Order: sequence, then C-alpha cells, then structure tokens
Amino acid sequence: MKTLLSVRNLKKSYGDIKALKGISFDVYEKEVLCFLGPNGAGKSTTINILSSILTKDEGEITYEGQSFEKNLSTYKASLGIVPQDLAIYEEISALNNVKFYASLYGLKGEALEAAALNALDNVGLLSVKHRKPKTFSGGMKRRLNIACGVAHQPKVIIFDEPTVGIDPQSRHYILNYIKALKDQGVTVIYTSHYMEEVEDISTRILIIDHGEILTEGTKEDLKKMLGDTDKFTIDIEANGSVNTQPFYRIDGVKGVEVSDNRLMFDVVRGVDCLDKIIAEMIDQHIKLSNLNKEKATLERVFLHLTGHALRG
Amino acid sequence: MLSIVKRDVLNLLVNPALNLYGTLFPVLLITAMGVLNQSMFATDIISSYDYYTVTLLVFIMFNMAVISTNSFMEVSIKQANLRIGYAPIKRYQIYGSKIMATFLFSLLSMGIALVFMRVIFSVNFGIDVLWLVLVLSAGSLFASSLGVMTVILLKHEESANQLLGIILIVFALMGGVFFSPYAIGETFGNLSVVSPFRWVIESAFLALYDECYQVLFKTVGVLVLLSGLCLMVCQKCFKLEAYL
Repeated sequence: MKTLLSVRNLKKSYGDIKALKGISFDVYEKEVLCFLGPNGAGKSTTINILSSILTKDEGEITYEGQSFEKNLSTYKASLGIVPQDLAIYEEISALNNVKFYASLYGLKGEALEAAALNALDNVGLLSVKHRKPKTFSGGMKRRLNIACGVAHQPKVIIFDEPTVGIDPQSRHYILNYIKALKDQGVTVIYTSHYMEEVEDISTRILIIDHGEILTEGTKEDLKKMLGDTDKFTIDIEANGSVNTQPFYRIDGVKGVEVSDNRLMFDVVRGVDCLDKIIAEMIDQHIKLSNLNKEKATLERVFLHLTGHALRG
Repeated sequence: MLSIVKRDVLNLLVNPALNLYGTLFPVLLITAMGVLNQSMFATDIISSYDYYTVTLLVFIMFNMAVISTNSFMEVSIKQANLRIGYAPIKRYQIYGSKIMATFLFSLLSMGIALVFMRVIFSVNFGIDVLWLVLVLSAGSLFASSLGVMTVILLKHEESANQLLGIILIVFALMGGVFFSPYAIGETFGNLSVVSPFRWVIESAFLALYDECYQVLFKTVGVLVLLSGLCLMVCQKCFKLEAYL
C-alpha cells in the first residue's frame, strides 16, 4: 500500500491543555481510515491540522513524501474537507453553493458546471439544485455540505462527523456514498462517534483518547483485542446477596462483575457454561429478569480502551 | 479573488437588513434631518438637504465598518466563509475580499443616495459631485478595512460591532455630523479635530463650495494610508484557527 499522508510526533497544546501528545500515523492510498475517540480525545484537532487551518506545535506531516507546509497549495488542492459544522450559504441555491466552492479550486465554465452537478447527483440533491438550503431538511443540508467539499474531485477527503443529527435515510445515503468513493479509489479520513458507521465503512481504525493513539488496525484486529472471551450480561432483581466466588468455580468463567442489578460474566468462547451459571443463581435465590450475550463489537473494544467514565 | 468578492457582494445584497441599511436608511435619514432642520439653513447658499447629504453620507460611509464585520463573521455565514480557507488560496484573499465587497456595497449605497437626493430634493453638490464621491470612497475604504481589522483582532463579530458602534458615534458627534461640536462646548469642539468625520466633512465642503482641494487631497491620502495600515494589521494577525 502506498503511503499518502504521513504524520509523525504531532503535538498541539491549547494553553496548559495538551490536545495532542505526539501522535504518529500513516494514511494509505484508497483506504477509509476512521478516527474513533470520545469528546475531547483530539480527533478534531488532528483533523483541523490535517486541513491546514490549525497550526501544529511540533511534528512532521508529509503528503506524497513532501512536507505539506512547503507544498501547501498542491496539498490543499488535492484535499476535500467536509467540516463538522454546516459550512454553506443558506441564501443561495444548492448549485451555486457547490459551484462557488469548486471554483476556488480552479474549475471554470462547463467543467465547473459538470463537477457541481455530478457532486449534487452523488449526494441525491440534483432534483433540488435550484432550491436554497434554507428550505432544506437537516439531512439535505448535511448532504450539500458534503457536495461542497467533494465537487473538485479531491484525492483525499476528510469527513469530520458528517452524520451528526440526521435522519437514518440520509445517514444510510452518506455511508453508501463514502463506500462508493472508496471503490473509486478515493482516500477517506473519517471521524465519528458512531461505532456501527465505522464498522460499516472502515478499512482501518485508529482509536484516539487524551491526545494519544491507543490502538490502530482493522476492525477484525481490534476485536481480537478483547481476547477469547464472550460477555454475558444478566439483569437481576437485587444484588445485595450475590456471592461471586461460586461462579469462578464454574469451568469457563473468567470474570464476574456486579453492578446496578446486573451481573456480567466473561466466559471462555466455546465453553458451554451458561446453564451452570443460571443454576448457581437459582441456588443463591437470585431472580433473573433478562439475559444478553454481547458480541465482540467495536463498541466493546472502544469502551475497553477508553473506559466507561463519562466525558465532559 | 474575484469570485470570492462577487460572492461576498451577493451575500450583502441578499441580506435584507443590510440591504435596507445600505439603500433606504441613508435616504430616509438625510430626508428626515433635512426636513427637521430646514429652518436653520434659510440661505440661498446651502440648504439643509445639501448639508445633511454630505454629513450623513460621511456618517453612513464610516458606518460601513459595521457592515464589513458582518460580511466577514456574521453568524449565518461565518462557517461558510471559513470554508473558503480550505481552498488553495492566499490568506489575504479571505479578508481582502470582505473589505472589497463592503467597499463596493458602500459605493452602491452612496450612488443610490446621491441620485435620490439630487432628483427628489435637487441637492446642490457645488462644483462637482465627484469630489464628494472621491472623499467618501476613501472614507468607505478606510471604514471597510477598519471593520475587518477590528473583527480579526477581537475574533468576534458582536464584540467588534459593539466597539465600533461606540467609536463611530463618538467620532460622528465630534465630527459635526448632526450638529456643530462646539455646541457642546469649546473643549469638545477643539478635540473634534481628531475625528476623521470632521476631516472628511470639512474637506468635502471646502472642495464642493470653495474650490479648495488641498485639504481634500490630504484627507484622501491619510484615509488611504490608514486603510493600508489596517490591511497590514490584518495580514499580520489573521489566522483562520482563531475562528474555529
């Protein structure tokens, strides 16, 4: 795989707050690299530095082997940005919005018109091209926001949480569009909070928290981090008298956790011990109200790495 | 640059509030002040409409500083404007286009007011109205640059507008836009020499009615110089990241 973007020891602070503590990663050609991280993890700071609107404190970024600062115009010309906030003019038509932004990349005349129409078609807004965005739904505005960022047909597109606050249909449309971009050989950098989106579209995932990269790899690689255990969650009516020791004697049980009327068991995958767990619960007169087997999901990996504590 | 300027001008023109401010407001203000103060100008030399067309257009032109802050950072277009920064363009084009757009908008506004006052109230522009246009244009260029510079320094449109609003009204009162500054007191009147409003108003009257152009050229020169100074500050201080 050819490395398109290379980031080394990237640091950024806001006063005393260290937003990025020296992160390094590569972006390969034609991949969809997803950034996952809780609020304040450093995702947006990274994206803003890659978008060249935020200056880094330290570190090196190269694009196609060249320092991106020394070749800023070339770099910017090959980059498409879909910002988190809607960045469109509400009072001019969707077509004029797209044409305006595409014109800043040197497109003119018929080429400009064709590129704008193509971008609107790709996001499903061709039929409303003459309507002003102020008459659009939230999902339509989000799609126009995308069209404005991609009309100039960049080699790399950065999507910063493009599906925030939109209806499932628009989200579905956007995710399919990103998959289509990948198929066309466009490199995509994507940030999101939504695990299912990342599972759906990513070729590689990078989990970031507190300004550091916790791990990176394919979704399969990351799921392997959870080890060879399955997780059972059993809702119970009261937890005052739960004795966890007998559960550990059951063959296959690796861990037991009790919290808020809930019992959680880590069980060796492939060992059938659920009936024994339930039998022990009956012996302890624990009333079961619900049982759930959690699969090895990206969300579990994410929570395993970043913790369950709420973020401000 | 041209496409950004065009976009910015259109943004100003599609904003109803700014549109009214640029077109109807000057005409109504001049008419109202002209009517109210008609008796104070009972001479054949200069009418209240003649006087207030000059002074209030100076007032309106300097107030274009507020329009330029809106053109740059008004909440409904701020994100869309910042998106321009992703494109491979020079940094100066982002703020420079706002200055240019406001300047063009002010020329349009001035043109409408001048034509209206000439046609409806037969305002006498003395020797040649072009002298007035020249000095007002210089004032407008300075105001547009000042507005953008202020919003760049304060990083916030509302704060910039509040600060500019206060400064402009104080300078307008000192500059004799509505009445002579000496009416408040001699000290205030003497201090009024620092007001750019006064420089422009005096130079305009001298050129229009006394054929004295020296002061006008000096005023235009100083205003252009000040505009250049504002641009230098903009170039030094403008960083897109400050608005993230």
